[in-house]
Amino acid sequence: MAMSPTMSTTQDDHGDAPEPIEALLPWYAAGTLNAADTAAVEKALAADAGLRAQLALIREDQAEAIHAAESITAPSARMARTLFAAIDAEPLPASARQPLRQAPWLERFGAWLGVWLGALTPRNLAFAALSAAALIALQAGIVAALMAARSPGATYEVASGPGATVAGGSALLVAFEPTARLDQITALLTELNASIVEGPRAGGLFRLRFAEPGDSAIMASRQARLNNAKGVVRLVAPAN
Amino acid sequence: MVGMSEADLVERLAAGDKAAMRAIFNAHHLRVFRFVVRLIGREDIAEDVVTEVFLDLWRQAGQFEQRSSLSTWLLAIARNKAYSALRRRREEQLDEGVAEAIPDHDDTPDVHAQKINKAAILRRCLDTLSPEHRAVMDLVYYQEEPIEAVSRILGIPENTVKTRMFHARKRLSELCQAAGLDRGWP
Repeated sequence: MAMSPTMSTTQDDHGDAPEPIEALLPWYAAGTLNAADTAAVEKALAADAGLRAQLALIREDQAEAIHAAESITAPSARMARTLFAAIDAEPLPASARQPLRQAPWLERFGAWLGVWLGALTPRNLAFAALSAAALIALQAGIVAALMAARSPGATYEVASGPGATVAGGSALLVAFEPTARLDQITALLTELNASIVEGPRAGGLFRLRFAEPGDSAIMASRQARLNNAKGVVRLVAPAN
Repeated sequence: MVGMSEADLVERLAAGDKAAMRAIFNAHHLRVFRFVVRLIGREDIAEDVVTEVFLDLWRQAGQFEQRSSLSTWLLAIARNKAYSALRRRREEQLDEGVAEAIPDHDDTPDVHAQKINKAAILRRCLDTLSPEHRAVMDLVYYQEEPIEAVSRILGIPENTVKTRMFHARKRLSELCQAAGLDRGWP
């Protein structure tokens, strides 16, 4: 955990200690021991009537502790109202404002690239090596544009598409072919005036946002265009 | 938000997604609330504490590294804030005290009637345990947290968790014995 609680001990934490198996009994009763400890406790229980008696007491304690907690009714609606009013009154959390927080997107994109490169056959890899310089330059451009866009309300901008600023608009989910090149992806996004705003999600899906909203006919034509981008797009799906 | 993993929700939360915040709040607020009430014994103060816990989550979601579960993280924050609230109450209302500090020895007829019931005695004794002992019992029995998670929440080593739980059980039996319920242990 990033925020570690303060260490605290009580006087009896240092007093007489239970036997190792005896100490595990409460967790055995709660069913939260790992398999090895569970087996060890069960073996000891089979041979020790004293432990079985302790376990019976623990089950009584457990039943009453659960009853005591369950008898506490839900908090008032005021609590949720107060919390969300406070949240509404606050600026976005620091993690959503700072450029650093955007790193996971890039990391995921990098991870996706890694998977993509890792999936290449030796032949494709050789081809990729030939175009490495162009690929790196394009990637750097996209990354730089993404980094520049990191502020509240900012828009994402495709590096190779000056003026292709995206703010709001409609969205689609897209999975790219493992063999798709960055220059192909960039060209397609530029043509559609779209940008990647999220992903990859499960299944390698990215959310594309179009700069201009579109009705169902326009969205259908965009989807058709993406579907026709053979070798670049593997799958297109509605975003909502 | 249905079907989203906890990791996905936390990621959305860190990006400022209020719908993710509501989903996490709905999933976790009751158990956190009950944990805090068990610790400090006052529902009105517990509501304020839990509000602060989730506000901290909103503000600091980017720091959550997912090495532990979200519930462990929330309960650790809740425990720290509950103890702060307890300290404030002790400073402000020494004469009033808190349940575990000044046990009630004046039995009303209702309390006397309760005492003929073994379960009621046990429950009453649970309530008179120290906050540290109530916390560890609640975490193990009600919250069903494993040893490692209890260690993270309470900020103590795992062996100390086991020892504290043992002493909490022992103290509970002693309180029961003093209340007329001999459990044959310790």
